[in-house]
Amino acid sequence: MAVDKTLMKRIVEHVPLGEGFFDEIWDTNGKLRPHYRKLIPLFQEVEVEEFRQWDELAKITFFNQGVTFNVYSDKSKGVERIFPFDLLPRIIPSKEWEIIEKGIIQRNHAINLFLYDLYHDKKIIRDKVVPADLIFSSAFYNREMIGLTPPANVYIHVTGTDIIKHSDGRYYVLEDNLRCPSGVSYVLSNRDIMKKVLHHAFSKYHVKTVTQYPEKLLSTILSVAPKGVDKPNCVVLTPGIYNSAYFEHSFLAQVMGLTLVEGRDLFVDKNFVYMKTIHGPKRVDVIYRRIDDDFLDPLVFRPESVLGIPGIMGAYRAGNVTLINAPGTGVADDKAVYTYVPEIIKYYLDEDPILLNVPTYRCERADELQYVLEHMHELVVKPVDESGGYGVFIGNRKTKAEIEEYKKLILDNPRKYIAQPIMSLSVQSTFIDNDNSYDPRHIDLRAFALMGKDNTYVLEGGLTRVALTKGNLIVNSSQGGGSKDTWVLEHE
Amino acid sequence: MLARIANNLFWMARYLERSEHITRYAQVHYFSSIDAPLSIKRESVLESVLQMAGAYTDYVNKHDELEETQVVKFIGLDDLNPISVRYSISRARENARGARDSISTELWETINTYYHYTNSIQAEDIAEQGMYEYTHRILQYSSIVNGYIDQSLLRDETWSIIHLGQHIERAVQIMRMIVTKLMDLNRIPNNHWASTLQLFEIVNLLKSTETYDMSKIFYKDVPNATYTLAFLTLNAQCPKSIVYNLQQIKDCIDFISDDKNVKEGSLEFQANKMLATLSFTTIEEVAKNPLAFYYECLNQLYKLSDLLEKKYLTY
Amino acid sequence: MNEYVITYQAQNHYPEVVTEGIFDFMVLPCNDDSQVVTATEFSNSLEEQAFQFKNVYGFDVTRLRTDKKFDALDFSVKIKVRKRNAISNHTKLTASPDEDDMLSQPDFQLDHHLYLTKTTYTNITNGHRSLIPIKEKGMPISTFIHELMDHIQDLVQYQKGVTTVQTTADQVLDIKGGVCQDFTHVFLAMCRYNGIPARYVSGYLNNPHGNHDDESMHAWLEALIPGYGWVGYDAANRCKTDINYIKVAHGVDYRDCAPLKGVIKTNSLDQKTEHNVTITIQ
Repeated sequence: MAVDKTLMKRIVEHVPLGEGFFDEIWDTNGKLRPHYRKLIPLFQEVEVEEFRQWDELAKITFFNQGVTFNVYSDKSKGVERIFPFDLLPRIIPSKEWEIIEKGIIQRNHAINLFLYDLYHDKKIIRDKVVPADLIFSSAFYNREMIGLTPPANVYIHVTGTDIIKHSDGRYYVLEDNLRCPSGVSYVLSNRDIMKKVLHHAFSKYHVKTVTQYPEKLLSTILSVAPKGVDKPNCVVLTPGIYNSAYFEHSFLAQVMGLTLVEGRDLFVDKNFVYMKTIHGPKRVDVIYRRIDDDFLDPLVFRPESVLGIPGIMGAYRAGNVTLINAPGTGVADDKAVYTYVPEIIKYYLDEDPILLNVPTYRCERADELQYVLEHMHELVVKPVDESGGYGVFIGNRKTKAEIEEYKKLILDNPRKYIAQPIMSLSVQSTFIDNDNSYDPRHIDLRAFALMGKDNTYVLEGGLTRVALTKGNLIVNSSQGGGSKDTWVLEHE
Repeated sequence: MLARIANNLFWMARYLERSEHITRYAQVHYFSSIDAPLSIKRESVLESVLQMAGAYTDYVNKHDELEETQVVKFIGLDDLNPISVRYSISRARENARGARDSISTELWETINTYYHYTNSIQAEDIAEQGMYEYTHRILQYSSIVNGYIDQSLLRDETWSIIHLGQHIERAVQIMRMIVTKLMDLNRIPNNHWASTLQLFEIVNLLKSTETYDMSKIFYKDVPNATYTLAFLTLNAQCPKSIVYNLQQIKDCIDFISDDKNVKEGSLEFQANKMLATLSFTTIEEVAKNPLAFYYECLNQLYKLSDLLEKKYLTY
Repeated sequence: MNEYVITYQAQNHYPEVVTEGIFDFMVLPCNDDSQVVTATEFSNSLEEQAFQFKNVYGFDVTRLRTDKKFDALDFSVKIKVRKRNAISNHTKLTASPDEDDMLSQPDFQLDHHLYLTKTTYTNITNGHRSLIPIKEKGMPISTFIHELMDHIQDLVQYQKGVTTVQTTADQVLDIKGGVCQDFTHVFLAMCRYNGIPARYVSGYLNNPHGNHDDESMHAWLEALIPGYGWVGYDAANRCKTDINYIKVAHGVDYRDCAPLKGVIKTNSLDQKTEHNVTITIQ
């Protein structure tokens, strides 16, 4: 007997949302946006059981590949989990991607010039574009970097820019991750698994490839080797197998054909770095390090660090080894400095920013203070010198009295506060296990970029992160977030 | 190659090899005991398995009686028992994880899947599926792992180190089986059942070392103790024999070594000497005092392993 | 002009064998307007070759690395230095009238930001803020610094064994006692709080008068006085530095100038280090 497919419950349906939401798939009239028109029917034709099989295949593949993270308890063994992965890809039309790509290149270019300036002449501070206090009080301002010029003047070889689409349909940068951004291995694994499970969907689109990232990263690494080194020995430095990003570290080392080292494999002698091989020491020229500045050199930074290599900063300062990214880049990606990025772009490049920053009102300016005081209910107000969410005031969740209270705090010390509109992340349908169907969830995008001696590259895709809890805006994997494959289309 | 990675790979191979041999020994003895001659006690079979695995004392300290499910649990599933299959495979997998970028994806994924299998299996599962299913799966995984080691790795230092670990552990485990069996044979009372029981134990040894079929093809005769020992010790064509494994060990060391002059007491010297000595040993010499012979051989092998660790695996 | 012979010795003992070690010594006097090193001679019990390089501030670091096994390490260096007084003892620093103005210039502050920014060692938090004297407008900086030193003497007693190399200025004010580096951290914090650039200095003190002096190296600070440059002051001894102060290095605080830092591979956390310094005039 033939099954009447029209009677079947479809797993993906349009869920009308209230105002203030931007749905990636359906427009406000419930019509499919053009770039999803070929994809959604594929998901609507499939029965739950078959979809479950796809899902299971994806999960098993992740599990067997070891794309997992460990939840350690006091028992000797940890429980292994995979990061939740959703099979419905996020699609970015080529026109939109063009803006993102150009915007990231512009942004990183300016930030790299900014870092050089901070550790040299500090013109931007002298010209009073960025306040001195903001820089020198930052925990990430690294004195060891003063006056040091890294090869090809590149500080931020590898970056991950967090971007959201607001309810106005435009892209905004939320954060520049300039230290050791992680997640790129998931972009590659996600795509790999998507191709195995949903190969038929790819035939309907021209999706830009992400598979060249390892080669691009390798050429970036090679391009900044110390001068005079013909065949640089490059390594990836990991904190070890218990680090939550270990999979990524070993993955990147493997796909680039580089040696994956831990701090204890390396040592410094007479300002050169060596690794301990079975045949004795072998010189190391470039280190793509996935450990934080603080842990790099126990002789200079945290003395108790066992992850780092004692003496490495001396070798770095002498130009005998290149570190990727350069130490001290964190000074440019903290919350307060973020608000100055549009000015930083303008200052160094004399261009208007291509990608929007979340607009920031600085209460130290009289006109902006006035605006903030009048729009408290629709703003997030934060103290500039606190981190980790302390003292953050979210206007739409406060009572009148609380608002008045907070206004007093701002008026007491306007310099201390900045305010931003409450941003709303766009939503996209995500499979919810318990409901056996798709439901809209908030998403963002981490876009990865590379900067070498003469090349810049933005990975055409990126990690779309999903907040799995309904209404939640936090997409971090540590907060139970999942991910989706991101398809950048070749043309419209 | 990093010394730490070499250390990881060496121990990865040893742990993998170890659990394969212990599992096969347990499997063979478990199934042969089902229809064993009457005078073979179930307890002595369990004891033999524990002895071979080197876990007898530990087991006795923790349990009141020799009991089948307890022994299976102890040798197969105990998280804390360092010779258990689960422990060995989890160590092998941790070592492989630390050297993930040095081995092939195929090899890694097999070891990882193998680990997830041994880690998820419970005593109830074994009770339900039977011992055969459990031990068979483990031996199958072992074969796949060995296949990928041979098929998916460059013949370079990485492969040589893994191979060294495999062959050292294989030689050790084969000798442990021989020694345990010699003791089992010594316990057989001198009555008219003796020859039946001896044959039973010798066939168990051949099956446990996966050489039953090979030896039959080679000898075309009823197995006896002398030919079995000769086959497992001195036959250069038998891939499980001590001499065969020593040849592999020596070849791997020669490949890795960059020492041109071999000094007395060095790793290269020890490997060459062991192989040469064994190559010129006759089965009559072995048979004079077989236990002493194998104990000495084991000691020499442990010494070789120590030298190897000192020279290449310390970081 | 004095010519000094300085010997610095460090003896380290470890309860368990050490299989690898790296040590950075900052014990060589620097060359500047007032002092010249004429000879140096290193030795160490492991017979490793010492390696020298400059740190971020341009001061010599002497590094020893070994993968020999050891449970004791002796390191010694013998140095000859010629020293003259940077500013004659009798010179009275006359303040330029625009001193205050200089201190408040953004460019001036930017050029010396390292020595104006508080660090973990040189932070005085709210609880102790009231202990910081505020310089009156028009008061010469050098006069203020002398008053500061008097003030610190009232707050902190010279006392050995009550602090460690990790003690911060805030903690010193709680303990009310400490040694030269503790005085210096409090002193640095108070200068910087008043907008006077000040840097931590480590070095040797030729001590004919039996002043306060640690067994190993001494610590004081240099303050930037417009019109004169960096001038040395010793809060532990309440004086301006003179020909008896032989400078090794400066930095923002102790961490930049620690005479010995090391990382070793061993199984025990315990270790014992003895420093011994002798200074003689030739």
